[in-house]
This record gives sequence, structure tokens and C-alpha cells, in this order.
Amino acid sequence: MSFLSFEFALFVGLALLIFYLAPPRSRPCLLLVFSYVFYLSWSPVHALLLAAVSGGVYLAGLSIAKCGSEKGKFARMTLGVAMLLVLLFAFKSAVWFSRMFHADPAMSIIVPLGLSYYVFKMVGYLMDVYWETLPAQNNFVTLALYGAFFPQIVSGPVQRAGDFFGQIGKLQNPDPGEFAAGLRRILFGLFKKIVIADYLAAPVASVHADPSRFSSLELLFGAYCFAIELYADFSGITDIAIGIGQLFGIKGPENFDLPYYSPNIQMFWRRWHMSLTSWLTDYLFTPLRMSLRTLGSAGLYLAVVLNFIAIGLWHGLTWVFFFFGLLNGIYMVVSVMTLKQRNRFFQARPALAQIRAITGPLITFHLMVFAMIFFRSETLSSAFKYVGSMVPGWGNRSVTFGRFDQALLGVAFRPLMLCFIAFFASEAVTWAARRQICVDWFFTMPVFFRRALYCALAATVLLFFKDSLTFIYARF
Amino acid sequence: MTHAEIHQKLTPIFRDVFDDPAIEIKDTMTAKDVPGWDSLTYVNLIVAVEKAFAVSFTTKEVKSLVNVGALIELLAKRTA
Amino acid sequence: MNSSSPHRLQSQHSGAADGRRKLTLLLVALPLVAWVLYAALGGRVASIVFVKYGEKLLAKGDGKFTDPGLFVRGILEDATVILTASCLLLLAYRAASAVAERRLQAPALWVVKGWSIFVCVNVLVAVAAHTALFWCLLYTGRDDIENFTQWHIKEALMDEASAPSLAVLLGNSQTHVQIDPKILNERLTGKIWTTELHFPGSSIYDTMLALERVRSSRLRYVIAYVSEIPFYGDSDDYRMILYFGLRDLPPYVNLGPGRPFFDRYVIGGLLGDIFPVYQIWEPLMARLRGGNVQKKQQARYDASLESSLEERARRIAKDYEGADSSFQKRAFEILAQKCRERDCRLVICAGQCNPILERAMNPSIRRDMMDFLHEQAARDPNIILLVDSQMPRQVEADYDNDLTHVNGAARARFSKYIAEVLEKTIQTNTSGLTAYPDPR
Repeated sequence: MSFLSFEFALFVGLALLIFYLAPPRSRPCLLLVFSYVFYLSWSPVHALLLAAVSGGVYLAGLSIAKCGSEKGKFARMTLGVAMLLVLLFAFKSAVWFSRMFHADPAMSIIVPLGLSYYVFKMVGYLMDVYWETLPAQNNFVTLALYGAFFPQIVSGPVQRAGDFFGQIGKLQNPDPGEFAAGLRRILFGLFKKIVIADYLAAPVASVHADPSRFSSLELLFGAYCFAIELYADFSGITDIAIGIGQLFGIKGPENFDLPYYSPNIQMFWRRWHMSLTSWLTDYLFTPLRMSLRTLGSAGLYLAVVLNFIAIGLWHGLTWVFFFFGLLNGIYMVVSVMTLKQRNRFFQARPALAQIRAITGPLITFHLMVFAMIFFRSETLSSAFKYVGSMVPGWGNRSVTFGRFDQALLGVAFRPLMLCFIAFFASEAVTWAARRQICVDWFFTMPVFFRRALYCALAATVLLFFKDSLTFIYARF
Repeated sequence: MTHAEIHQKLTPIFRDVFDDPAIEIKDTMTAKDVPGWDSLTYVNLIVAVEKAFAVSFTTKEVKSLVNVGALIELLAKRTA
Repeated sequence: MNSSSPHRLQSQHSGAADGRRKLTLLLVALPLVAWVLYAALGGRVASIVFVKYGEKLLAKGDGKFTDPGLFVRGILEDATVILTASCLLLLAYRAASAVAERRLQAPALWVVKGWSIFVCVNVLVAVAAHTALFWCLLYTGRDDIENFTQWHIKEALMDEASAPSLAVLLGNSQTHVQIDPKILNERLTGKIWTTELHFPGSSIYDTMLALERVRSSRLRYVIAYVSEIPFYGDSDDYRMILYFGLRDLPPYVNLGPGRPFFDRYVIGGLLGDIFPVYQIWEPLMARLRGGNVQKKQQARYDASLESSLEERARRIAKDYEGADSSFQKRAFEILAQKCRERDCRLVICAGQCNPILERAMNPSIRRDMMDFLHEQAARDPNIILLVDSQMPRQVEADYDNDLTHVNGAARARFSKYIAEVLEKTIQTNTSGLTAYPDPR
């Protein structure tokens, strides 16, 4: 079942009812059962794989902790991590091969739901146990739940094992405030996903379907729309995931911190898909950088580029994702190389520094808008076609570069403006909430106003839920 | 080396890596206390420390350092 | 310390309790008053409305009912039923949440309260869905494609007809375009009242499910226009979401293989049966939003069709080749059985398609279907099978650039023919003879 379906809402509702009426001691077990019921609704075979991985990692963790020698610990950790990564790579490359050789679609291999997420979680756990930053988990239910926790399995966030294990105790005695915060979070996520992202999906899909039909301006508009769509979509889904976790007493890590206002690329990647990038920093980049440190600056740059290629390929083994990673790696290397000089330059010129405060985020945003054209494209050649068509006068197209055909794009002026206003409003709310501005004022307002606001938001979400048939036709 | 000696030797390294001549290091200091201390500069710091003290750390050791005090402790053990 | 504060608190408390008691009283009294008013004034109001707006209402009803007075009275009764259900459910919710408040704390309390609201809303929808008023409120107008809403309005209104026996037109869109209920109702006034309850894309199994949802005990005729499509066509099972229910599960299991056993359509049907909110979701959203998803989907589907009829026919014919119709055939047997049990005759028009499609199709498919239908008719005297040789012949010109749907002229011709068939059936039924023996 998909997150945005009646079935899923019903599933969560039933799970909550059972969870809260059951004896507190049984709650971790119940949550594990719910997680597997959810996973079974996608694929029974893959649920077996998930269970097997959880069992293997459980034993591996204990054996690393028990082993006396440093070498033995290292060997066990390496073996465990290698097996997990081989599993991940095998599935992803199998998909790649079956696409390469145009295998029969009925026979084609599907990557198990959430494989990349739970493999990363488990790898992190084993390395934590090896680094002795976390004791090995003795309770199998806790570890299996960590891997399978249903709100996080579809699209993250990637929660750290230590953070998750520390919250298991909260299941016994959930906090009403947290529960209410979860409900608000879900509503907010639905709003971003359905009102903003799903509306912008139409123009994005049309410009990417055949870029040559569109003018430069339309393509530029499409690129902006995709940047907003991707962010609203992904952060919306993350909000829903975190919110559902909170209903059961487990809070997942944040994934986004207003990334589009980052002053530079380094900051962008620390504020975009944070749970993944910080995971990669800890478990891939730092070890990589440590082993390449004898190479000096070259080692640093190599580690950065490899890290970003890994981020790209994590989305799928395709050339577009490779290029997306490489491009960001290059951005990052250039930024790292010149940061010191840039800082010195602006320190000496305070007047220019004020301008930098505005231009920095703007430049960063546009670099990402550009990189995301590749992220969205099906193939590398179509991505280059898109970029080429954006340059006015390139190629022999009859379309004037300044044309803006709303019908062709599949948008209308009023709803589009409403969508953008909704986007900026949602960003303002996120900003205020993160920095504790106006939060007290909001919660001292009469209950009536807050409830009215929630009802209005919920009604907007329901009315905007365009493809009402998706809840029927969504893949079960 | 004594803790005081290590402390003295570390200060210029920190100032250089984090590009801030005013840094005064304390045992309880962590990444949160120093602007510009991130995953990139952290490894730069380790590399500089390794060079200055002529020691080599494993990834595991680096991972287990919770604050500057732990780094000094580790260096004291290594250079003893 | 203020000594009066606990006292004041108590009095506030009792004030709140007083308010609650008053509300309870109101919730009990309101339905009672409504029923008394309905009993005392319902008839008078209906007759006033009849005199004033009768003509307008009839026009607006578009042949769905004949007696505006009866219609208004029915609507008033529906309103009283819905009001009563709302009041009782509100009482039930208050009782449930009072119990929950004594035993549970937040967040468990919120979860239980949330479920009580959800259950009450579902019960309310379940009750309301039995009334014509509810579906009339969901109806957005004739321009929209609202098959489900219209189906329920017509189904709820059919029992108001004064004719001694009722007939329904069931099946897919071919039934709809072939037979005009207005023509039948004109010809058979005072004898049979016909209601059209088709649903586009219905297979035989869907038709059988739809028949189960027709509640009237006066139903005597089920008329379906059946070509190869509902037997061999590979339609999606969207209608199962609307008509499948818990009670259909055992017969479905016995029906054997033929379709994916436990897929999203079966689950959707069961969900809709247990939680009526799920079933009315789409009509409700269409009503609130104004836009209509089905209309857009239909437009998208129409745009995706090949412009050349020959080409389209070849593709469809290819799909039918080797299609397994055994599931639909078994469903037909159950359909016939259900008609027997309800003492109503099953009139099957073994109909045509556009000759272009007929030519493209492998003739063995039609032979297979006709053999099956003849066999059924021979076994079950309750079935009236009308075959090509008896029915008006339809030529390419009758189809106006469509493979399955005839134009208005052909519809009128065919409807007149069906009216004659029904007329003869009534005459011979009284003398115990079958007007239409199996022609073979």
C-alpha cells in the first residue's frame, strides 16, 4: 500500500488502536508485526529477505562485540558490511542488466522496497558496534524493528541505530505532546506533497517528455518547478514518515533544513537529505578520507568526488545519477578549494559581503536547479537535449525563446500562483518552527483558531487530492 | 608528553586548520563550539595532528574521540 | 486562599453537566419531533409542492420517477431518517467517548475517540446510502459522468413506481445505448416500470453483482444486452470495488479460477462494504470539488483510441482471440439462478456490435457464446433469449463511427422492439405459455 491511500490510512488507524489498547510491554513486538504486515502488502518474498538480513545482522553484531581480538572484530565487521553491500549492489545491478538487455518486463527484477534504506541502516549499525560507539543489540525484536520500521522503510529518513534504540523505551509511555506534534506533521507533509508537489508534477512531466517542443523560458520554468516539486515531494513524504513515527512514540531524524537558502554548496548538502548525507559522511566519507589522507589535497578531492558519486548512484545505477553525483562532486571540490580565499576576499570588503549574503544562496540554488535537470531526466542524452534547448538560439527550433504556453505546460495562472504562495508559506512555517519563532504565540492562541486552521488545511489537502483514483490504482 | 605540552602544541594547529587565530582550546570543546568544524576540516585536523606529533590513528580511534580532551588523552597515551 | 473557588468550580462543573444533559435531551427529542411532523404534515407538504412545482420536478427527474408527490414525500422521509440516524449516532459517540474518558488517557484516548468518530460516520453513510435524498445531494448534474451516483438514485427511486411489476436494464454501456427506458415506460404504462441500471464496462460477473444491490421485491424482469464484450473482453474490474461485498465472498470463492483471486479490486470491494465512506469517496469529492475524475479519464481513454474503426476492431478482435470466458460463463449461471430465486425473468438480447467489429472477430467466438446461451436457455425456461434473427438488424450506419454504441435512431427502434417483447411476455405469462421459446 502506498502512503497516500485510504488503505494505508486505515492500516495506520488500526495499528494505532491495537498499539494503544495493548499492554505496553507488547508494543515493540506489535510494531514489528505491523511493519511486516505493511511490508508483506508490497511483497511477501522480499519480506523474507528483510527478515533474513535482520537475523544475519543481529548475529553479526553480537559476534563482533564478543570477539576478543581487534583483527577478528575488523574481519567480522568487514564481512558483514561487504555482504550487505553486495546484496544492495546485486539487486541494483540486476535491474541495470535487465534494462540493458531489454528483458521481458514480466521477468524483470524489482529492487525490494526500501532495500537501500535498510541496508544503509544495518551497515551503520555494524560499524557503530565495531567502532564501539554503540553496544551490540541483544534484543532481536528491537534490531528487527529498526530495520523494518514501516514509516521509514519506503523513503527514509535514515535513522541512526543509537537514536532508534534509545527511543524504544518511549513506546511504553508515549507522550501526548509528541502524538499531537505527529498529527500536525502528517498534515503539513500531506499539504506539501499534494497541494504543491503534485500540482507541479504536470508541467515538469511535460517539459521532460519532449524538451524540443518547449521554449527556453518554458524549460527554465520547468527546471525551477522540478526543484520545488522534488523538495516539496520528498520533504512532504519525510514529514509524513516522521509524523507517523511520532504517533507511535519514535521520532525520526530531520531530513531537510531549508536547503534552498544555503549560502554555499557545502551547506546545501548538509541541509538536503540530511539523514543520508550525514550517514555517508560518517560511514563512507570519513573512513575514505582517513585512508586517502596520505595523498594530501588530492586525497580529499578524490574522497569528496567518490562520496558524491555514491550519493548519485544510491538513487539507482544509471548514467544520469552518476552524472548528477559527479556534477555535485565537482561543485563541492571547487567550493572547498576556494572557500578560504573567498572568505578572505569578503572579509576585506564588508560592503560586498552584504551582497554575498543574498547572491550566495541564489547561486547555490541555481547550481542545484541545473544539477536536478539531470536528476529528473530519463537518459543522459535527453538531459543534454534539455540543457541544450534551454540556451536561446541553439539548434534550429522554430519556438521563440520567450514563449510561455500555459496550456502546453499544463498549468493555469491562478492555481500556479496559489501553489507558489503555498510553497513560500510552507517554507516560512518550517523556518519559524525550526527557529522557535512565533511558536509560543501559535500555541497560546485559542484552541478554536488552531483547530479551524487544521481543518482548513485538511480540507485543502482533500480537495487537491486530484487523482482520486490513485488510492485505488496505486500499486498494492 | 604531558597534557600541558600537548595542549600547547595543539593550539596553533587548531588555529591554522580552522582559520581562526583566536581559538583557545579546552578539554570539553567539541565540533559544535568551533565554527567551520565539519567532516572535511575534522579530517584535516587529524592529518595535521598526526604530522605534528608523528603518530598515526585508525579510523576507529578517530571515531571514538568525543571532544578535544579525548584527543589529548589519546595523544598522551601514544607519545608516552 | 479563596475559599469560594472550589465551590465555584463545582457549580461550573454541574453547569457543564447540565448542558450535557440538555444536549442529550435535545438529541432524543429532535428525531421524535421530526417523525411526528413528518407523519402529521408530510402528506400536506408533498401535495403543496406537487401543485406548485410538480411539472418542474418531473422535468428535472428526467423519467426517473412518475409521481412528484410521492417523490417529495419520499425525500422528506429520507431527511427524517438521516436526521434520526445523525442524532442517535451523536448520542452513541458521546456515550462511547464518556466511557473512553473514564478509562483511558491521551494519546490512547484520542485514538479511541478518533475511531468512534470514524465508525459513526461510516454507520451514518451506510444508513444514508439507502436513501434517494443522499444520492441526490451528491448528484452534480447531467453533464458529468457519475455512474455510481445515478445508479443509486435510480435504484432508490424505482420502488416508488406504481406499476405492478418492475424491470431493470442491467449490463454495460451497450445496454444503455440500445434500450431507452422512457420508450418502454411509455409503451408499458400501468404494466411494467423499467429502470435503467447499467454500469459502463460491466462484465457478466459485474452485472450479477449489480443485480444483488437492487433491493426491490417487485422486480420481475432483468433485461441485458449482451454481446461478446462482457464475456471475452478484458476489462478492468473497477466495478467490483463498487459492488463487491462481504456476502459475495463465499460465492466468489466457489466460482473458481478465472481472475486474480485476491487482488486490489476484491480488497477495494470489501473495504467499501465495511467502510461505506470508502465507497462514496469519489462521488463525494466530485461533489465538493466540482471537477470529475471519471470524465477526464473517459476523455483520455477516448483520445487514446485509434481513429480508424477497422484498426480498432482488429486490435479488439485480437484481444478476444483465445480469451478465457469460463469465469464469466459461470457468473452467468449464477445470474440466471439469482433471477429464478427472485421470481424474475432474465431477458438476454444476444446482441450485435458494429458489423466492422463482427467481421474482424473470429466467428468461432460468436458461435461459442451462442452455443452457451442456447444451452442455458434450453435448461432454464426462466431465460428469454433473443437472438439475431428475431431482433432488428443493425448496420454500420447505425453506429456512427463507433464499434459498440448505436445512435439514437437505432436505439428507438430497438427499444420499441423490446417493449413489444415485454408486452407479449405479459400476455403469455398469464396463460402460462412462453412467448419466446428458444428459436433453435
